[in-house]
Amino acid sequence: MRGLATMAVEAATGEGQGAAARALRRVLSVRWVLYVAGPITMLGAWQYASDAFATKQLFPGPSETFRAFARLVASKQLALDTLASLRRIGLGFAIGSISGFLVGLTAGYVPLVRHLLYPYIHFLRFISAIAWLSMALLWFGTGETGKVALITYTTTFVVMVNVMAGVASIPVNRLRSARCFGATEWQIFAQVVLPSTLGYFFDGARLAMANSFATVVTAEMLAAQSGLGYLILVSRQWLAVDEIFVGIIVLGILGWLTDRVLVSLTDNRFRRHRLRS
Amino acid sequence: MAVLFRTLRRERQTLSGWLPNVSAPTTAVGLAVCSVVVGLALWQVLAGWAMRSPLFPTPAETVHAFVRHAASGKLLGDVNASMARLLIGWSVGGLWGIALGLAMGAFRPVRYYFEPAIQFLRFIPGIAWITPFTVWWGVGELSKVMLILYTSTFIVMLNTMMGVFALPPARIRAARCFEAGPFDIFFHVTLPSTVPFIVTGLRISMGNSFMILVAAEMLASDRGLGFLIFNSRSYLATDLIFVGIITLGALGLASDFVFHSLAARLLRRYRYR
Amino acid sequence: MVWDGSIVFDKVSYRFEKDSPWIIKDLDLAIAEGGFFVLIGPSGCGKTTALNLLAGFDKPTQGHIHVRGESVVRPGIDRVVVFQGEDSLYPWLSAQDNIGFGLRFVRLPADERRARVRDCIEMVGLAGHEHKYPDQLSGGMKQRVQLARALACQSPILLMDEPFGAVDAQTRSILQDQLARICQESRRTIFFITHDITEAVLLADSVGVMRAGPASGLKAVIPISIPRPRHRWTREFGQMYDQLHELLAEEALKALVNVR
Repeated sequence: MRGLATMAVEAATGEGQGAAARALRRVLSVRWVLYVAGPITMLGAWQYASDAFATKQLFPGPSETFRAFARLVASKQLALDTLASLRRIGLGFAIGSISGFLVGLTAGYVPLVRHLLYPYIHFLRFISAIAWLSMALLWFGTGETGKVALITYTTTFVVMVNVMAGVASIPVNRLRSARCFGATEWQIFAQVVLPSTLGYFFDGARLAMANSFATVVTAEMLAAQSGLGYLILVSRQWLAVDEIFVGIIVLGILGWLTDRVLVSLTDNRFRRHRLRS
Repeated sequence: MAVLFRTLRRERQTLSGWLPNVSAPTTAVGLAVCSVVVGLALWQVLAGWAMRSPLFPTPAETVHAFVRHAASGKLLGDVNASMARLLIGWSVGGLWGIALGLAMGAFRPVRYYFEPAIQFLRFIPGIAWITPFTVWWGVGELSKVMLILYTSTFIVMLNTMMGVFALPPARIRAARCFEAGPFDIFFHVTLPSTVPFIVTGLRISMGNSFMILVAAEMLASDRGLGFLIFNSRSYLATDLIFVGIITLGALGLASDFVFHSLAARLLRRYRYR
Repeated sequence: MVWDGSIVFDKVSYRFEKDSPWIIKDLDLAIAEGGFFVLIGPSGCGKTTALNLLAGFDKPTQGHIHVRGESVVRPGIDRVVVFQGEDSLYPWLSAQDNIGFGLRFVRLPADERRARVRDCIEMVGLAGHEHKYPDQLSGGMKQRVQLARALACQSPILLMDEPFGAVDAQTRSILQDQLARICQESRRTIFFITHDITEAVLLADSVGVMRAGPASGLKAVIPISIPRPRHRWTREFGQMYDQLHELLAEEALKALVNVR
């Protein structure tokens, strides 16, 4: 008779065929039960923990956070700040993706460029955009330009590195067969290289988007008068942790949304172009 | 532009450039070195002659500032403060991440339970958490260590999970043929197979931790490289800012290099390269 | 169903879920003890499924599988599997440790384990390479490690799932000859899957031809009575090859046409 632990483990891992394991698995295999139970129990635990906490203001629960959310929406504050952040990200991301794509293609195509850029890439890799914030503030002032510049910088970097990797991983036989069929260099570029690298470009774009959010939030916390980062900062000064939570949650939703948009762009139109999931 | 087109046309089989032996390793290193030297020279020229403003330090001024700051012992103090926070948060967070990742990878119900929460939390920029953390734990070491711990746990957990999912089922089936129990399978098959993913996760999270640490130190600290970078702005000490930035890059590079080389040497058997 | 065989499939049917198509339906098969049985069939006809059921990785949806009179419930060391490809070797263990891995979980004194491992290394011709790691071994050597690992367990039944499929043609014929020799020297029941007819005629005591899927079963069981050691492309070899090829080609064409 194998132990209870063994049966439980077998049920959990999907292996094993004892009767008890199968029964347990049938109950737990209702995935959706768990998918729903997770967030619900967590929200409940959050509320409980916050109620048990001494100073309610310092650790609000879901209900307090929701009330703060309603307040911020009503006062239009949330919308204004969200738009401010999104505007900065949008501009920087757009410029950065295009320039990153172009530079990445060039560097991938021409080994000379790649070798020249190599030391800079491998050093700057460890210097985040935020480390440049001080210089950006001194050079561009505290207005929009500095923040957009930082976002452009990080987006260009991430996209460029990914596109370079993409060009480098085009299977040689793809190029060779195009040549067999007599394609000109331009045709090869447009019909073989470009589609092959699109997948890598979008992977880079997704990463860059996450970086951009982090960058903009920090920049807004340190040197801005609007934006979600600024909202969070101000809320901290008033110790309004419920509004901090609202800001954080909105950031999460925005990040998830933008990621979904990027993923859907690739899945629907370019699914066959993407060889990597 | 014309050069680029000529390049493309001259290409034979692969996308190689117009210098015939550019792919040789010595030429590559040579080009890299040239590139750095030229870059430094350009910087010196731009900052020293073209712009000549306190807002744009020259390499010479940066080196001076570096020597000054290092000699006074303050640089070491900043570096120590930053590295201590980073290493503690990263290592403890990594351990947590491994444990959670293995649990979620091996036990499907655990994974289904946490998956919606994780898929949402991963989109919240780590730095945003510094605000509640400073409210709860003050502006001292704990808030920053906790922040790095949180982000490290996340990244290592995701990578470890990926590793468990990438396990070839044949490995487990073979072990089952030999009548290995579930715990034997876990320790002798699952765990060793996941090692390269765990190490990759630790490496990525180290790089990430550097970024978060800098931001956190700018926002809520009185010591450390991030503080140095942000605070020097008030004195328009741009040379010190550059010292901070470059030290940061060097530290990140060094840590990554050391970690990766050690891991590659010690864990070669586990297929980590 | 006749029960005197070492392995008996009794009206075995399998499908993944309640409404998915049947992969195999009503498979009846009896393999005598000590026989070398080769299962051959077009791609996707469920050969690997039959092996997985016999090994105990999956449970038949209908029917039973009996090994030496006992029902198959879970994988066991009496029915060790040799898999296709290198996925089942452990890259952090040397060849020697991989071969000894199978004996780790059964109570065996250490020196006997070491002796068995050494014997198996000799038997498959890996002497001198036992301290190498899988990524330093060629495809043929990796398959030999798997074979040695299975042999070390001294299991009465060996299950082999297209073990030489991923190996180049020359190495394949060397390994086939080696396997034929090893089987001649020991009385084991072998359940071998392949889609290479030459391999089947070379190694088998009897060959089962499966029909094209879905819901496939056995089309025919052909005994091969050429005396051993067998040489490829003697006249009897050619005759058996033709006979099997005719049976198989019909099914292979059907499999090509079948759109699942």
